[in-house]
Amino acid sequence: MNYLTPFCPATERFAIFIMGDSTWLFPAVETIHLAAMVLLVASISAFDLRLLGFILKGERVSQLMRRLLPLTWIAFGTMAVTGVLLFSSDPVHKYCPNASFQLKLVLIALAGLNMSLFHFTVYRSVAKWDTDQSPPFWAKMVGTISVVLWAGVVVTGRWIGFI
Amino acid sequence: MAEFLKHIQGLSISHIVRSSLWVFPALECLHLYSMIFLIASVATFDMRLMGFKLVREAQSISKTAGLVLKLASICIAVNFVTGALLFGSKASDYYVNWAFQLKLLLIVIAGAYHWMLFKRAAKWDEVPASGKMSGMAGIASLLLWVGVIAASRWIAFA
Repeated sequence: MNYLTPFCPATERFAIFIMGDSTWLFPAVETIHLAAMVLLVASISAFDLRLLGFILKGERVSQLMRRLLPLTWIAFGTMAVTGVLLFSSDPVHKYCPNASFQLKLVLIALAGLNMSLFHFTVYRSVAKWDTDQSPPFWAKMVGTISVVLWAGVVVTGRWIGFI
Repeated sequence: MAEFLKHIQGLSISHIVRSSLWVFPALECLHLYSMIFLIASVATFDMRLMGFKLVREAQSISKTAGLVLKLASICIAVNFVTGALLFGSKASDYYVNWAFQLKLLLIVIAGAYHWMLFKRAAKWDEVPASGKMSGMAGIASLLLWVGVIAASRWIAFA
């Protein structure tokens, strides 16, 4: 029993409806999930590394955000849809009790929280440090936390299959 | 060949990867994480070929190629080392796995293809009107890499 238990029965019915017992549908959906992951993690990391002052130092932070964020959201939407499909293939026995899966969801939530906090605090004053090659301390902090959290999401995502 | 595969599998490093509870998964996570930046950097170049400019700094196609090559080289090295270690742990199994064979084939094609693209990148700077051709080249590359992901994922299902 954990925080996911209430959602299991409904998704299982959904799963049988969508995925059935196809042998190739699961790896096919997983491939899309992974391709979207490349776009998601890479677009977020590129922005994080700019916040840390490592890459794209000649770019305005706000402009980079405007260019990357749409890609991030497209990727996130794709991952959410394919993720729900994968989850629903066997929610009760495979995913809900899986510690790595539970941790993955928590890490995604924390990454989302980190991003929202950034938007409503540090990013508000972006005009002041938009062109800084080395952004202020708190921007770097957000960038570091984001890189670590998303790396954690990748690792816990892969680890689901190992436990 | 069978002897050679057995030899690789018999190496002490292969034994460690195979028998430890966490070394194999850890290597795979590193392999996966590095793959993100390999494909993303190559895709950045492909998008640039298709006329999609992500940043001001990388205006010319040849300059984008230069930046991408640096990051991609590091990732290729990481993926090669982790991939070789993973392969070594169950060499005979991977060798006969059709998805694994397909994956290697696609990587060789993608590698040769990009080597060709990078060599021609400078030329495309001078001929900016080659939109259709370079666009096709970019799409073909993206499809190749999605194929590599698919084949990799299918190894466990083949």
